[in-house]
Amino acid sequence: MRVSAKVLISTLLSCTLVPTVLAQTSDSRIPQIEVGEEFPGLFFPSMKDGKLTSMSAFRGKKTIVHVFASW
Amino acid sequence: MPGWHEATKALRGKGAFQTVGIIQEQHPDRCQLFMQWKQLDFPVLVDSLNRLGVNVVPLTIAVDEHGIVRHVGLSPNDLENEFLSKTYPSPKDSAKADRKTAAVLGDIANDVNTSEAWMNHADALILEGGLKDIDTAISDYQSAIALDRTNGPAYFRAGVAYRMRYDQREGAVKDFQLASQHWGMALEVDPNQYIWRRRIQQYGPRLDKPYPFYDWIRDARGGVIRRGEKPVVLMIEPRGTELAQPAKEFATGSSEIVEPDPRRRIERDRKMVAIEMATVPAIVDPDGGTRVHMTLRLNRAENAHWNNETGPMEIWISPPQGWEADPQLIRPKLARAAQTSEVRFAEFELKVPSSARPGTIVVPGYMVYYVCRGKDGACLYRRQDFIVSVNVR
Repeated sequence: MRVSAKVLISTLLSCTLVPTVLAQTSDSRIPQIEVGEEFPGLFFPSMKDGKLTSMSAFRGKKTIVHVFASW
Repeated sequence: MPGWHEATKALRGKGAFQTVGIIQEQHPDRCQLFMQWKQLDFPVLVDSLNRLGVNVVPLTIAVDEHGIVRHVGLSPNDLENEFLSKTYPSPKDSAKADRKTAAVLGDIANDVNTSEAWMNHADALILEGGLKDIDTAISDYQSAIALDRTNGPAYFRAGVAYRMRYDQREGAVKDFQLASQHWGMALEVDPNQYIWRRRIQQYGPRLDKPYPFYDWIRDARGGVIRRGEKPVVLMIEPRGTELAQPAKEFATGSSEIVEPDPRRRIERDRKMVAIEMATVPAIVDPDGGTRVHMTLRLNRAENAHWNNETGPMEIWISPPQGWEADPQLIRPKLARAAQTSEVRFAEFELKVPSSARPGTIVVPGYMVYYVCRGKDGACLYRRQDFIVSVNVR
């Protein structure tokens, strides 16, 4: 009985460890976007002036990030 | 995404949150035109290399004031109750992101010599230098691939880099074909990566298209001009299959077309015009199709230029038994001026029979055109034969 409880708990734990996002490439080299974690600190060129910017530049206010394309 | 933006207009007006875009396109200026048209004016970051790794768009992510992700795939209806009304504690450790320069990442790559380190260096070279360091970036992606043949992101990013070089550097022979091959290899590693798949579909046959990619550009320009504004100027004009509607069936050739030189009597040109080929996808399944992109460049050393007033340029495809070409006769649109020296483009599709065996199949064709040498020099009607190599899986 104890053993099966342990199995149950470990199963539950491993379920919670499943990434919350399935919207990303499954590759360990890709920084994960996970609820409760910092947004990946990658730098990208700004469309307006090419200045390299990370999402940390937008801290201080709640932010909605739209990942999109024009097509 | 514009729908999401519009639906949350009232809350945005109150200053309850800010909006940031991260775009997943090869050509960011097209998105700039889209935003001008739709009057979207939030900051946008460009992720042509797909470093964020998202495999779907649009995707809306809610990030709190401390930089912590709170929702992935948030609906506009949940914005207020599930995000804006919540209070989030400040995390103990919230160091701002620190960017490693290409020089530092280059030292790391030399030191540890891993696939990931070479890819990171290549990414940084493109971010910092763009086209300037693209040759080194491409060779670093190749190092990353050589060290790990399952590095899907490295294949994809190499493809993006090859296409960048094709678009921006004259005489970057084979780069478009290499881009197509690398995107294909990326997709072999992860067939579920839809951003990668979209890059192939953007240039691929109509049968594989989910939708026309850039047919909205015409409307966008019209709309912007009607408002009295000047539309964003595009560095690379979308063309051919990028504007085409998806097709349900492969169109077979019309019986009314006439082959331009069936008796092979027109004199051959061997040096005035160079032809480059790219097939998208680079490897095609039996019963599948591939889009062939021809890039036609004049030989500058000969001071060659096109003559546009004598007659059309014609491209004829002679598909092998069982294969189909659509169209079989292509007449690229000529410029209005009598003589010009632009790079010309032509596209057609090939359908592979279901009985095709694996390997490289050669599809012959030729083109006839009017080309002139030197300023006010003699204009000649010439033929050039070519082959398209199609790799069947």
